[in-house]
Amino acid sequence: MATIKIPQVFQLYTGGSALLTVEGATLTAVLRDLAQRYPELATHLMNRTGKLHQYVHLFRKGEELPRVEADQVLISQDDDLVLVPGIAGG
Amino acid sequence: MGLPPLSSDEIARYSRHLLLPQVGMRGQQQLKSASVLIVGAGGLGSPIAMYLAAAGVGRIGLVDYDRVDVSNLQRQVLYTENDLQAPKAEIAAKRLSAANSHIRVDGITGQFNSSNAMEIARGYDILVDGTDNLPTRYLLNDLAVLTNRPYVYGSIFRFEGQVSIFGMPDRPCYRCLFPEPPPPGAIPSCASAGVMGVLPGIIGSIQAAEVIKLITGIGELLAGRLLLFDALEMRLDSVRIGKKAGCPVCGTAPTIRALQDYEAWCGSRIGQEFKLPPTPFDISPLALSKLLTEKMPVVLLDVREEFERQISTLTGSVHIPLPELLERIGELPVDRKIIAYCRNGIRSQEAARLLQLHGHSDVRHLEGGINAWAAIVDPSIPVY
Ligand SMILES: [Zn+2]
Repeated sequence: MATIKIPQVFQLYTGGSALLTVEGATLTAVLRDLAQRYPELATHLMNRTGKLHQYVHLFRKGEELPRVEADQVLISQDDDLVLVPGIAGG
Repeated sequence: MGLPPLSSDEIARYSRHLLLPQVGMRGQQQLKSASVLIVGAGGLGSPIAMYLAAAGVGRIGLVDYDRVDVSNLQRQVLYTENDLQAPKAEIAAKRLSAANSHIRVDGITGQFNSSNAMEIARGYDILVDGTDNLPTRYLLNDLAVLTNRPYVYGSIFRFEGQVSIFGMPDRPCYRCLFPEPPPPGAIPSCASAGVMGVLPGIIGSIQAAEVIKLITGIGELLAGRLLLFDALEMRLDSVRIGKKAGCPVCGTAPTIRALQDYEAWCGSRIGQEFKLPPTPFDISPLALSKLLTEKMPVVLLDVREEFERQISTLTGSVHIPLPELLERIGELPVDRKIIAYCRNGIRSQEAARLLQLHGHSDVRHLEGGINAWAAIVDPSIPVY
């Protein structure tokens, strides 16, 4: 299963977990799986149609995953994804 | 225009830079002739300003509207216990001038906003982010793009930080990365969420390193890359970020040609913690105090996390953290008035809304939270 590194900002909605494992062969499937397991987190990450909000990004091996046609974006079992939010402190 | 020569005092002082083949005499002269504006003299601004002053950046401007508070001393290393309540920009300018008499430092006490940003930033080559809020970040970005200057971005949250350089030709800007701000209140500030004290030291130092590289033209800049730092895992990632052709400020057909109203755009006011609009659930600390002295049978519900109860609690309160509220709602009596509280009244307002939605008709929440209670009713309770 692929993993997603969850930033501090969103750990409030994962029961404190910093690393989640998700199932699915495409980005759409992975996001759907994430939404099922963590519905509260999902409301902060995506809109009702399951698309990521503009203020969060998903990266894999240092490259951003495409936002359009997420059902065409293949995710492999050993992918490590990184979720990046906008943060505001200083 | 030729670069300014270094005096023999300066040559002795900057010897360790002069010994670096990548910097050398020319690089040190470039530093001397450079000017950098740092917006925000707090957690990030402290190390940025101290290292740039030590490095011999010829002119440093520091803008901050705030005064030194005792809770700043955990990370804002520019200040000491003698500086409490004094204007940060003034103290910082004195401290930097004392550290390096060869440079010029301008401390500017006041807000940095769309009406004065152009004027304040006039004459500075590089804009550096030491701010603690989103509106000022969008402002710095647009100012940088509109006036063709680099914007060295840094931001922190709890144990994590980000660094990048925006506003460089053919490289993305902050709006390319974050076209829209998150909804107000979705991303808490350090003031409400806490921050590891050394984190801004690390992130600000990386920003200072990028500024020095920009000025001297050495190395690989963070433009087009976002650096991600996690102090808990002690992990540093760098991800590629792209310029967006459709970006409203740096794209091919920009629609933003002047500075905007950034507080309206982000839905938040600078210098104020996010506050929810008033609701029928609100109860003031004084009204709650009256209820309690009248021995009204109420349930005081603490919706904070366990570690916060070790800092302060209201006597006789029951504890259900907000994330567990719906699962454990059965533990609360339906025939009693419930008064929820948290640290500052944001989580408790959400709790009140949830309780009413799930069959509790008589629900209130303590306005301003236990911190307001401590300030108004019971000064023996610590404020955090
Ligand atoms: Zn842009």
